[in-house]
Amino acid sequence: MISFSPSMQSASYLTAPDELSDTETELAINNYCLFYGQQQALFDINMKIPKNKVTALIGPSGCGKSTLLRSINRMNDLLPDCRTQGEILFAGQNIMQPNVDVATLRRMIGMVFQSPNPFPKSIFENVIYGLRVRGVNNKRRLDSAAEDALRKAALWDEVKDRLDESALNLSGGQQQRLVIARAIAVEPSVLLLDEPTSALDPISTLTIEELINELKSTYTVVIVTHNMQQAARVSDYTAFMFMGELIEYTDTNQLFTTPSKKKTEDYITGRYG
Amino acid sequence: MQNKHLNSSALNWRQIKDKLLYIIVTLGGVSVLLTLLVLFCYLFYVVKPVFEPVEVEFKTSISNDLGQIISSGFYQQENHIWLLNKSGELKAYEVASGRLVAENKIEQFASDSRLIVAENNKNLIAALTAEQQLTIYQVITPDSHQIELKELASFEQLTTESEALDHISFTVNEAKDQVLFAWQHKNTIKTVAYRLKQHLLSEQDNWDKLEQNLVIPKQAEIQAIHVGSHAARIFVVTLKQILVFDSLDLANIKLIASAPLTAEPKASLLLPGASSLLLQYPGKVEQWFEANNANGRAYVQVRAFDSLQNSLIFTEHFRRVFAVFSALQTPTLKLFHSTSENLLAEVHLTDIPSKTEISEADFSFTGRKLVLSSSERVFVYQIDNPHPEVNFTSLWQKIWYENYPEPDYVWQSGAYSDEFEAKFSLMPLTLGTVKSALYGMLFSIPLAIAAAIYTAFFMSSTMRAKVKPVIETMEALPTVILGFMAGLWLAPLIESYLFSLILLFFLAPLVVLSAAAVWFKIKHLLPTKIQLISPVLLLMPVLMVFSCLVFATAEQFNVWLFNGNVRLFINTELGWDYEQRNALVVAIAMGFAVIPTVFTIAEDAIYAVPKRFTEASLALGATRWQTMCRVVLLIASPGIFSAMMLGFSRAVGETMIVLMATGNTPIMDWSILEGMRTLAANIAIELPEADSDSSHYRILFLSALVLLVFSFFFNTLADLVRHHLRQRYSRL
Repeated sequence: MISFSPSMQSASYLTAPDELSDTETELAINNYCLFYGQQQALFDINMKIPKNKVTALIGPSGCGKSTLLRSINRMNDLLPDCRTQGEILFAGQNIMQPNVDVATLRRMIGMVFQSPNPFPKSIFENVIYGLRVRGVNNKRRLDSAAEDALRKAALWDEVKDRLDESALNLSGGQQQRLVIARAIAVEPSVLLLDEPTSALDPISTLTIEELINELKSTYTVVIVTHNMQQAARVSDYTAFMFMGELIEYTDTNQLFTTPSKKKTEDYITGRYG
Repeated sequence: MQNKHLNSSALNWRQIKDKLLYIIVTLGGVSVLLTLLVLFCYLFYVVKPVFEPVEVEFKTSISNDLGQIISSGFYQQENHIWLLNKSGELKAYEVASGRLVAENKIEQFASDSRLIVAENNKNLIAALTAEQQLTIYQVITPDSHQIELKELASFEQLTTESEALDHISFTVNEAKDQVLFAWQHKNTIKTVAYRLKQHLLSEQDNWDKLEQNLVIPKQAEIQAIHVGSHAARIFVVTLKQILVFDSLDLANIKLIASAPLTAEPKASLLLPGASSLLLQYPGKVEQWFEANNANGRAYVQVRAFDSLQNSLIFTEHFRRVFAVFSALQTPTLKLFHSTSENLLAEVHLTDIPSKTEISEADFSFTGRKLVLSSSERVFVYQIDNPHPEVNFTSLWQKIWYENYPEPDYVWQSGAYSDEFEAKFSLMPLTLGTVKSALYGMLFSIPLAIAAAIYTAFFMSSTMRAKVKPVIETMEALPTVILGFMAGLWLAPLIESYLFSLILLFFLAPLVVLSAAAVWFKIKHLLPTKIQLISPVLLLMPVLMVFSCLVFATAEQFNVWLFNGNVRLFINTELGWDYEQRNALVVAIAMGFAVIPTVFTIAEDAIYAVPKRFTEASLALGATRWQTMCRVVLLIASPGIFSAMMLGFSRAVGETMIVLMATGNTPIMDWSILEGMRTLAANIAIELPEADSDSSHYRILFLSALVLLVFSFFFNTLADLVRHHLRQRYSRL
């Protein structure tokens, strides 16, 4: 079992998020606002998301943390009447511009959703879906990519003998790891996790959390969670959002031990949420 | 305390309502099922008699003091029977009691006179004296107790020959103004025809007499001569061959066909109708008729039946039914329907003593009674044989009908006369049904599914809210209006713009593709505002302009390529028939009926695909199109499949459109440029004019049953497939 201690220990050496250099920054969100029709959902968000670290977004329901997460790979495009202002810089480019190729963007910024959503296809076909849609059809390459991704998602040993079975036969926890394997099979730089364990039992949750810890060596992870313990366990940085505003964003240790804002303290001590 | 509370609540109003609702719902469901069951049972009940076996029932036997009978007949609803012997004595009996009710005889009957029965009508008797003086009588029965021999015509001298005339045969036509005699005289066939100038019954009978000698091969031993009904043909059966003479023009009778025989026939007789001849051999009966083949007109053997040894053969008067009877061992009757090659019944007539010499046998006009006469007794049988022409073979297999060049599937139910043989092959109708449904589906499924995909997946939800109801309203269009528009407006339009439409059909996809290619090439050069316009909106004017261009210029091409008549080109160069109201028109009109059904269900199925799958696919870097093809269609497949199957059922059962937009020709042809007749349209057309309980009527019910079984089969199949697909994606 992998302990959480490395991340907790290293927390004391973490740079404050505002002081991240450009090379340490994966994503820079600048003055970002989002509207649903007339209603504003996000207010002037500014945050830098560090490379190869786990950043958690916490806050009460409806605070806009999922909306922010979905903005990062332009999934908000799917919503009708959605309008944005400001910019999100990824690799030096503003991804909110209309002529950005969202398919390529989403390949580089993968996403895992709240409830496991494998396709009604075989385990193998699920894992390599992202490669298939990019036109990769080389059998050997697909095989190795699938094995690689499943190993990284700590699922290989459980499914290696039944790759041709329907993914729907897996348990919820396995399905969620499969979905993670599917996301990392396309080798993205950023992995967005939208409450990835909320539909899972405690043991599956633990496995996923271990996995997240593993993943950050290769990927920049942004995770939305309802569970403050989970944020404390897995993340390096934590942002607390409330009513569409970013209240506090700092390294996890500091946020949970010495929050600088009253609202943050109220939230983490359980006054509301 | 608690117990009491539970008890009191057992009767409260809420529970009564619940119970009541349960009963009503159950009642509703059960009654729907019952209605279906009753419908099925009724159809079966109407169809069943068609397949019931023929029954032969002994009625009575009457002692006969007339000696050898030469003709007999039933009258008064077949409750009475008359018998005529060689000496012109006539007696009538009541069948039920065997009581003699009337008698009569030919007056001035000379002892050396000879009586000849007409080939086509047992009521007509010719009496020929030794001096060849000829009188034609008709047996008439004004009521049950009266029987008369009415003199129709009398002629001074048939011929100058003094000896008896061999193999004499004659026919009187239906109007009774033409009489044709034929007999053998040495090596010739002599024919004498009488033609009446005025009506036969008028005071001054003025008959033309036409005589002719027909040459036949030398040493031809004539077995029989038959003058066909309507006096249209004379058949001469020799031991070696059959000679057929055309006697339509009585003044110029000529040989039109001859056919060699491999064996010597024992007997021969005409089947009712125009031209079939039955030849009897020991243990076998052959049917011959005139058929056109590659060498022109020919007289051919069409089929053979297993008969009995040493038997008497006789036929019905209108239907193609004949029977053979033999009393050699156990008296046995075999009943056949010639056209459908069907042995209807083989029965032992136990009421006839063995070895009885039956000299004359005859059916009643309706075929419901049968009389077998020996010189001592006559035996009357009742035959329950209402649908001899219908069996599996005649419904579903190729049948060689009289005068057809080869066996074929034919639906031709109309009867212009009693002699006409109705043809009831369900194959052309079934093919027509499948053909119209198939072309209808080919036209509408791609459109409906594409529209459903676009509406459910690519269209903005505000637009969808407007488009969907509009397409669904299309379903409310009465199909009779669709058919009417298709038949009277669209069909001529398609005919006149045929070339433009063909051109458009092939070029439009090319234009769409090249427009898309150009769009992506020049997109980056255009201002952002234009870039963001939906490409579909840009495509519309392009397609519109292109269509106009095609319609404007196609005529030029048409003139240039096909001399301005593409229809003629299709007819002569490609060898395809072009019917104005064809399957193409039906397919387009059917589209209006089928597309809304398929669209609605398929659209719902696609729209109902959970968002999480689309999101998952898009988040993996798939484009919307890829997401559509690889994930959404897969998950929506059970629903899309149901939509297609429902569309197919709708197309199969569609009546008014096909009825009005096609020529309703029951042909066996898959060509899209030809029409068809479907089972449903056929029922709509013919049921109002079918006599109830006739074969035709019952077969129409059978075709309704076929239609029902058709849709049951496809619905069940669809349900099985859908179930299978559902199970595959069961945990969604």
